[in-house]
Amino acid sequence: MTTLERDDDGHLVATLHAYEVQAITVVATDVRDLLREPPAANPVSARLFPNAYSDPTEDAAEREWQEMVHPDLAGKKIAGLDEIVTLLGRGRTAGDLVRVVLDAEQEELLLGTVNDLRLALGAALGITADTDFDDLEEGPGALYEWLGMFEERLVQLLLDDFPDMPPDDDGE
Amino acid sequence: MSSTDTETIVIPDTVEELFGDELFGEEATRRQRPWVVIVWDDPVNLMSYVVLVFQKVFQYSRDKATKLMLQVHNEGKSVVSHGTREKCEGDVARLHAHGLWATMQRDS
Repeated sequence: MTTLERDDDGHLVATLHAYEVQAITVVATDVRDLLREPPAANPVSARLFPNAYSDPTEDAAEREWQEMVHPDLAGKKIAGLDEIVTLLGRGRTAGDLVRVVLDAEQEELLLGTVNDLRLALGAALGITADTDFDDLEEGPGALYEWLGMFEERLVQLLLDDFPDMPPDDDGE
Repeated sequence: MSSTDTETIVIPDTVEELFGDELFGEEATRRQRPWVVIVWDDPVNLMSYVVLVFQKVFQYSRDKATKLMLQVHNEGKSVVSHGTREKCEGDVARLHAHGLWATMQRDS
């Protein structure tokens, strides 16, 4: 069974089925290749790199902003996908299960990567607020739903650890 | 208005009259308005994840982050920060890095 928990040292420990690791690896590799294309070249890049300006007449500022932000952001996302794939590949295998231990930095990376994979699958599958999940293509649709449950668990663990700011200190 | 016997000199009552549209017109008002960053609802991002991102990116309290997330979810969008153009460009970049659908525009 897939589990996500903290060990006694505070490290995040993920135990996944080998086929889940395999599915994540395949999709992460596909997404990485798509992100090497220019923004808006495909629905996945378009979703991960949206425009900054609501107003289309700000196109000069938009271009300047994209040139400043996109190469760095794409590079970071690609490096993150690679690192997660490597990390999962190095997991300790026991029978059908793969056990991966993550440090604090890798937790953040895992969260960002899982979220990017869901956004990418959502864009590729054309998911909208009205999508009936029973109608989704079986393989990618199941992975999308599984990643959603995995991410929900991961976010709850991270939210539990996140220090809450006092309401007076939030700048408003 | 003041006048002499020989000619009429019109002295503007206010700077507004003198510079008119350049300083006080519609375009000038538009330029002086601050920028706002808007997060739009999307069908993929988890509600819990959006709360975590608002806390991380803006150091908002859990309460405020939750309120903003619910506004995005229920009303389709929410203003999550405001300031100069440069500040908002930075905020949008950080929200995009976390996968949120954010844009910036002049405050209306």
